[in-house]
Amino acid sequence: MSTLEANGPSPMVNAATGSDPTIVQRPETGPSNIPIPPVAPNYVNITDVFAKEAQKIRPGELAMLETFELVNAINALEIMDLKMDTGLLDMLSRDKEFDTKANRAARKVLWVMDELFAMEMSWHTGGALSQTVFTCLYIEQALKNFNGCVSSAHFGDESNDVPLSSDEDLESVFVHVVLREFVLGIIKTCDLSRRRLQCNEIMEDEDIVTQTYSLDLMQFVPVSKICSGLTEAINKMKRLKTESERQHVHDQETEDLLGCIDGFIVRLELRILSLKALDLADDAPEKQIELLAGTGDLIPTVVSTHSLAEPLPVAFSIAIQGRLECGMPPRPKVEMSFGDAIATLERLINGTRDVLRIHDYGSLGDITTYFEEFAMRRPTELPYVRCQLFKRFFVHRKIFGKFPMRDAVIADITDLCCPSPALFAIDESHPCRQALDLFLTRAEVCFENLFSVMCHNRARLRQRLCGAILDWDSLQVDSEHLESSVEMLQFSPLLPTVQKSSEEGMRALPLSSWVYFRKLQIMIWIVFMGFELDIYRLEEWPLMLWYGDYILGVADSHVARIETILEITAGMQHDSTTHSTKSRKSKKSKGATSISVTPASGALPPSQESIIRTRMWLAGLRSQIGVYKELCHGYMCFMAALVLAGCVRSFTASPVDPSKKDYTTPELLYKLRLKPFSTIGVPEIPSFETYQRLSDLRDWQIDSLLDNAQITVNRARNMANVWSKLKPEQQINANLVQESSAKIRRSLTRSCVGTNVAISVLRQMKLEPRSFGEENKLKLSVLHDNFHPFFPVLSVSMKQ
Amino acid sequence: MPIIYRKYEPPQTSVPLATAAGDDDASASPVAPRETAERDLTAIRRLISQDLSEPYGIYVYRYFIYQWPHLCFLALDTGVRTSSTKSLTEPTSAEKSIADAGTQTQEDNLVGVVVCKLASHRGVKLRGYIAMLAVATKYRGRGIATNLVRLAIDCMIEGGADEIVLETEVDNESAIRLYERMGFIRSKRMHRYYMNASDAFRLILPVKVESTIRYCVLANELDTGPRNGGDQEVGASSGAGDMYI
Repeated sequence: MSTLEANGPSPMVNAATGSDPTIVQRPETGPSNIPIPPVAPNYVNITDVFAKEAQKIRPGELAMLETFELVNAINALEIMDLKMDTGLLDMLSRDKEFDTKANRAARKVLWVMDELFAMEMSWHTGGALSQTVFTCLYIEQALKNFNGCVSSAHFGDESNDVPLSSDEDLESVFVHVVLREFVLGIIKTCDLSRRRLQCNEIMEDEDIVTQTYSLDLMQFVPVSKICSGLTEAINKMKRLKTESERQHVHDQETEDLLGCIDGFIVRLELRILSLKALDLADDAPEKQIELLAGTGDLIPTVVSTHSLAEPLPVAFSIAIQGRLECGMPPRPKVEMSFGDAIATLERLINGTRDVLRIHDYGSLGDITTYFEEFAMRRPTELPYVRCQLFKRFFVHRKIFGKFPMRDAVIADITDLCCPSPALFAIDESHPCRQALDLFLTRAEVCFENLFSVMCHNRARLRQRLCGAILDWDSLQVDSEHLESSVEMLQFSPLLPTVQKSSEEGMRALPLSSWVYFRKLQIMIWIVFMGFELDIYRLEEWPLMLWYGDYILGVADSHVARIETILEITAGMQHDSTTHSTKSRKSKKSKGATSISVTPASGALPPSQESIIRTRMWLAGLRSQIGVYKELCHGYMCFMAALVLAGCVRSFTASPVDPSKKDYTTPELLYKLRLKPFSTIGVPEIPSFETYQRLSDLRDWQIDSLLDNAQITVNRARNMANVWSKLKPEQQINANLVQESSAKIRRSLTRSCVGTNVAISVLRQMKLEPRSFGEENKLKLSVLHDNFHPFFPVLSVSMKQ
Repeated sequence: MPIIYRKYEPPQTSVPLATAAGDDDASASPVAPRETAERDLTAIRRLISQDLSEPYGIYVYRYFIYQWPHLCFLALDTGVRTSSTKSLTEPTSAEKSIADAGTQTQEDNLVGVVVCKLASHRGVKLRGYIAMLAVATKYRGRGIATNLVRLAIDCMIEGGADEIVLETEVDNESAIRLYERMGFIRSKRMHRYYMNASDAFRLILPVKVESTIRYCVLANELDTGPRNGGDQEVGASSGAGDMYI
């Protein structure tokens, strides 16, 4: 035994190197002809040493290095175990008997094409190539023969005999022209998709598997070359069709053949458009839209001709995994029906087209809002679409390759806080210039990360947000430090307020206000995504609703504060304008009694237009927070009624059956559940004792809780209705999300309605207070479909 | 049919194991003849494999069971044995449960198993990990899984565990219910965690106040790293930390 024999590379891996495994050949279509020195492996026969050493180990003994980790154990091959050894699977498989050179009927070729397409879509939804596209024996043969030159990627055997197809022999043409060009098209689309999918927003193994097991997916073959092969095949099929039609034969066989030929043509055309769309993925959106629209237009014909396909399942085999450079145990083929594959393709096309709309933005705020809406979509967009969004948005570390991220940060601060425009225009000599630059640089990183996070799958997104709040919290410290410096106070003059004494007043502190708002928003997302992802068990609902209500309250107060400052600033600007007009008219200065709009040199007042934008933005935010808060409060009351009725265990009670041993305590669980927020400086997590005190239901009645629940849920519903009826001119940063935002708001209304129904059902049951654990007749289930992701509805029914 | 519980018995001789927290009391486990140990391992693997969509290699079993043999508990149907065997349907401690260890015969039938690990997690806490749990189909619904998990948790707590963690498929309701009854909570959802594309929940049972304090100070539990980073426990195959009852 030698190492070469034991772990020899698979035939597919050797294929590219020709007959001499020690010579590595550069693909002829590669970017250059730089010679690569041959690699001469130094093989050493270890058979005797291995056998001798193995004698020393007794059966069952574990010999391992200290560095041996679980992941090594998982990835280790267990030779000669049918379930674990892909090599054994290959040895026992009869798939090598399948002749890829053999002629096949048109119907069977059509089926292979559709199955291969389904495998491609299955890969896009997360299956490994070894379980999807690579299970096709035609793919294997083409890649095995491929030596860098397109003509080498044929279905012949390794002796390099290129199967010739004669135009007379139709079934040969179907395999060696139509199917072959289609197969090459699939390989190239996988290559292009795979390269695009390698980005930080997509998690390897979680969203997609880009592993190719060292196979070259024709990386250096130009798309144009594959497309010309596809075009030739189309032309050949069109000629064949014309000739057949000229013969005026109208039997069923001919009709079916013509149908199959139509099916071939449309599939090959679709492949060309897909290749071009992928190849030009970074080009002008107009061209992309045209290609994607063209692809979508072909789908109905693909679907209508699918009925002619006749299965040829032996053309696919998982034994291929034994011939791949792959260490994992055998995995099943990830099946996908043709219907699901078509639906996946439509999702890819529609999602990619939708992403292109970001180029129609009116303001940078439009893009921020688009990302937020994009992340909320259900089902979550496919990995390719999510990746496409970020790649379109952030090009060469700039937004659309044009604007620095700093512009988006400043736009976001301006929309929210409407600071003096002079704030971001201070010159080099200003003592705070360097500190402001540093802050903005850090803010850029946090903001860019937020865009990136929005492109993750929802489960990962929540985890990433948990990390992001730490950065935003730290940024808040920086911003507060910066804005507390005397030199920066000119941009946050002391403003008079009606609530406070004139000595106190309020300061705008726009940078800190912005950071704090964004941080609170992230906290709100984390809390409510826990409901969306089913992370909280029912007894935790009251706790997390209570904490969500608390954070929403803080956010509402914060936005209200910004609103107050805005109105004071606006009022002062108005007074100032009136005053100066009067002054000009009377040519008499009376002197300002209140703080001037230009309280310090250089701090220009915001424009009227900016004030109006911010006013609308804040109104929208308060509407959203208001609806969330009311609904959250309604849910809290509803859950409290369920706790009081003994249908849901109280979180502050013992976490386990009292008859059993306790391993943990409610306080430990409280701290663990709120752990993502535990390091945040402000707002501080309320203590467990506070929660315990506030969640005490001893003085409550079920009916009064349900009354409260109904009132607040109805109030939330009315607010959601008002909010959803806002006209486009009453909103800002909503140019790209008008339709989808309306949909989200309608789902909020549905959550209100659904909860109202549950409240009514519970009320009719006339439940009495009782402790949890007693037999109750209620069945509670969480419903997600059609409801707002943050507010799934609890369905209440009687147990059967 | 009376069910007894006992610890896995490691082989009589073994090569030195990797140093890991929790190994100190490995010597406390009874030591079995090599044939018994191997037979147990084969039976354990067979039992667990029945329910997994993708099997684990023998190395995964050896990784856990040979390093932490004292954290592997077996449930056995004693079959024909009656009078001398103590039935433990409600064990209150590991000691009580393994009272019969060493008295089993070849006829004993393995009907349930739990496989665990106890090791330092990022150098700040001692984390117990329930890697595998399985009960034979016809023995489900009798509390065997609960008993096995309790034995394992007791042992891990005795070994100094700050917390116990595991992963389970999001739609494995019976497993989730079992663990949540013991106080576990879901800390996060993991997208397509298993090879069969199912999502997983990570469940955590905090057992010490100190560990939570360290959580707060370090806040390093936020899994922002790559999917197969150091935080990953198993997850390469369906059923890790999973159970079927």
